[in-house]
Amino acid sequence: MNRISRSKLQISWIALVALVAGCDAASPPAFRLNMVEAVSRETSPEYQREIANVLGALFGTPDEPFALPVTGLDGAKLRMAAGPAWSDEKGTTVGLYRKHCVHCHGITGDGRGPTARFLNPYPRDYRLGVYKFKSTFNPAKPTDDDLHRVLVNGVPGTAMPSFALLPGSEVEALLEYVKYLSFRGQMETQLISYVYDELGEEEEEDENGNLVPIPAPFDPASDGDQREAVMDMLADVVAEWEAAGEQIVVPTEATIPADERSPEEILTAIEAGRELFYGKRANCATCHGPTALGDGQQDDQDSWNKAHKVFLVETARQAESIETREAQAGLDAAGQQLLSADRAVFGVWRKVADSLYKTRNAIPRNLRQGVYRGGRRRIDIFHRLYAGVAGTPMPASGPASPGAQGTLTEAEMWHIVDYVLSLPYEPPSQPLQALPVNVGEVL
Amino acid sequence: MKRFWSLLFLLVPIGGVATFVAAPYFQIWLPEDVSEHGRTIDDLFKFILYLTGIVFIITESALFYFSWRYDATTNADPVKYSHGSHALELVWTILPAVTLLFIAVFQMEAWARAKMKPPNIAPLVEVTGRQFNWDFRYPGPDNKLYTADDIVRTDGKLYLPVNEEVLMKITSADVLHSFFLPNLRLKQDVIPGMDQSMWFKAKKTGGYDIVCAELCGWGHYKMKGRVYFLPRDKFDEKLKEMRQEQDTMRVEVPEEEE
Amino acid sequence: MTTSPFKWIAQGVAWRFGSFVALGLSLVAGCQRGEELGPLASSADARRIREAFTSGSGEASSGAETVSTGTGWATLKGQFLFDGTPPQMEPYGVNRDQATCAAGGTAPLEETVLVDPETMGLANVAIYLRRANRVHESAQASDDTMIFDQKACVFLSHVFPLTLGQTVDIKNSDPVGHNTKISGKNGFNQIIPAGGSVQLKPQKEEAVPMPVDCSIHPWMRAYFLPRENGYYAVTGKDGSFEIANVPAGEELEFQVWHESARGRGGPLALGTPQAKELKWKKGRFKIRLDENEEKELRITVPASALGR
Repeated sequence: MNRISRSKLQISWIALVALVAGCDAASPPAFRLNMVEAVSRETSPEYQREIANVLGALFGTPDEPFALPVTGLDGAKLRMAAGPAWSDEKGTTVGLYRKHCVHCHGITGDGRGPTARFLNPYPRDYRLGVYKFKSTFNPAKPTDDDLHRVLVNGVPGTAMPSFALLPGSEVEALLEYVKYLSFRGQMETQLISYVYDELGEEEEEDENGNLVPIPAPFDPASDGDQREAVMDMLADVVAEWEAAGEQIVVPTEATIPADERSPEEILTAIEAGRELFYGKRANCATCHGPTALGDGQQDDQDSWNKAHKVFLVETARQAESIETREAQAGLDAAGQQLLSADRAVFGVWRKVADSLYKTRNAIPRNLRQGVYRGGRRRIDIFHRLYAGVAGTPMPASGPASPGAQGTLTEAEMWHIVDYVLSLPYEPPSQPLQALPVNVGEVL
Repeated sequence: MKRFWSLLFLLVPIGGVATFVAAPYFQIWLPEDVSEHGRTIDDLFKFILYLTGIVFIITESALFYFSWRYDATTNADPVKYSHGSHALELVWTILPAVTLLFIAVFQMEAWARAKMKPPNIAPLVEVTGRQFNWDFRYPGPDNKLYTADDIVRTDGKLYLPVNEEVLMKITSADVLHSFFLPNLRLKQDVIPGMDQSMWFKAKKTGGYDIVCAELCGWGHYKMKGRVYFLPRDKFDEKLKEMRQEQDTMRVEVPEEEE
Repeated sequence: MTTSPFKWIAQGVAWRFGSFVALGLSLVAGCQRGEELGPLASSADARRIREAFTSGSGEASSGAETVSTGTGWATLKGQFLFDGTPPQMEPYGVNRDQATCAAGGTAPLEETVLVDPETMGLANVAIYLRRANRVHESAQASDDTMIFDQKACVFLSHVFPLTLGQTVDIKNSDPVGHNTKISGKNGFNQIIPAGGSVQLKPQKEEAVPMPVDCSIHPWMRAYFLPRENGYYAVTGKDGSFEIANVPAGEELEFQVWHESARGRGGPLALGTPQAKELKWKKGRFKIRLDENEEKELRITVPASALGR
């Protein structure tokens, strides 16, 4: 081959390779179903499609969001946050969610963006509608202000950065979009439950005389009852969020410590806080450890990890059950039928299980590093004590709702705040451990 | 066209010089300098730029001349072989070596002042880089870090006094980062576990950029902050304000909208 | 090729060729994405459904369901029996407060499948009416406070039903603190001090019993079932239950639940001939009782239905 035709061949190879590499034409991103929920609740593929359609009707797509007026979401803000990221001539950025959030939080807000698996802790999954750092009672939703605070301050100690440098309007648009994703996620769970509980009731006998369920189609367009049920569910979800403003924990003025306190007063408060920390009423030391290093009870998980762990445990149990039965000789016809049915079910479970990240235990916070994820203001730490941290093992010491019965008094909680803020700093490069010999005496 | 390639090559030195000449008009030159020592650094930069620029023009022009004069399409002279010139080799080795040595020694003082001789003052703030945010910790009234009265800010806004020598500690919470203040001509890489310092005196109030200058992960590009220089009294006020905010024990309940 | 293959290799063309192929394949391979699970919404269907929601067109709801109501009351009772070898329950791993929770070195046993060896009765099966049109006085919320206690790091009521409107007193009879965490619509997670109690008034009904645990002692487990009416029962040690004063003369749908149904907990799915007779589906069965009838059901639960 002479020089010219050989170089032509090489150039054409390069061109072909480049073509193939660029051939992966980007399809527009789309919302996907919460497969852990759908598979746990045995939603059939037809129902999954129908649920996806209803969610598409109620909430639109990542490029074109939609919200019914009853949700109270601002369409202009949603449109600013949704869609591909670009800026117009005036410099206004559109597609903010995809620009700033999607790589961790995922297009569906499920906390499974491309970079999520490398983070500890995992990014928040909005679909449960549970948020940790808020100023409201434990079971209540966060207020807009709470979400705003998380966006502006970030969450120190995690990979969530601060977005304080964005203009205020962009931060508002992002927080509206986060709420929108939560509404969508919560509706998804409700629809999956509804389909499981209410539909598929009719049955008929097939040729073997077995009763086979006839799945009723889930189509609110043609069935008024279903439409009403869906609107009721949406109203319930929205009501919880709208009620957040009334569920703010406001400390009683009388119990708030004075702004200027003498060193003796502060010391007394710290001492009282210390008593409570190690006492049997607040029980802080049982989880946070005898020296507040977070080395107490480490065997529990937060709700996001727990749901996945339960799913993985069940998948493993199914695998084991199938293996045992396959190893058994002499399975009768009914047993064989059951085994093949179980194998099909297991196939579906296993696919979803393989896509999940490794679950992690909820390690109690090390209070000696001066890093307070929900904020370092005294009121922030007070809120963590009063209402606990929703979705995690951290319990509330105050009432669960306005007017309910609490465990500690507010004055006691302020004492614990003083104690926690006074804990000595432990540098992360030289971690300390409570001596085993001391534990029995301290606790 | 004859001697096309050598003429094309001539565009390299012309383009190179033209870019530098035109840069300030397109706002792609050095950012505004608001520090005391920045002048030294910028002067050093310009000195080295001009020195190497002159050498660049000379060598590129020589390269152009030779490729133009001896282009194969127009030059029919027979090839002449040379055994080299020992003297020429010596000259063009020693001259650049001396120049480089000169530059190395010339800039030592500037480097030492910016990097090796911290002032003997208490640190005003500790900067912690984490993926992908800058967190700031002020020591509070007791001037000791990691005590109960520290002020911790995570919103990427750093406040410092102007016209004062400032010492900052810089640490990393997880991976390599580099705290870069372009408008103060200062940059400090941090290795996790290592404490570094940065000191300077800012001469102008206002808000300037903080960026991360060491690839630290996928969010490196957006690891930004803002540093604000305030007069000392306003700075003290700001610290007090932040301290009070941290001591907040009350909640603002938004007005009911009807 | 005009040259022979050997010359080709010698000239290095083969290496270049091969390296391009390798490069191309690696680029293509790198472009693979992880498989996305689940369906995509169809935009045409979504549009159609959205039309229905926004314009209010389409079939109107059928309004109140016409259900035939009967008169009088009846009683449903019976027993759940386990068919198989009663499984051995394993002790929990107690890693905290061993003095209280594993006194004498013995940890409490799991309660996932509790079978009474004498009667073969299956305990902790929850059976409750899904919807009631009429509710007898005795099945309405009373003013007494229900007690939900925990002792020796075990919840004393493993499956705890209650009627909405009642208050539950969550007690802690241990010398150590517990924090009782209730999942579901009546979310609750509060510290219960040692020897103390906290009152709770649930507001929302659950379709299935929700888990209750403790964070300090994560092995603890119970189930909580708030219902609108009192038509529920949890089988006792011998597997027996009784639900009195259910509406007679109407079709009643009962839900049966067990925490180990099919291994993972949930509606108790049964495929036995007895269940087929009752048209047992998703752990539910329908029954119609005559006035003042006392129907007795003895339901056998095979070990496979509980994942054993």
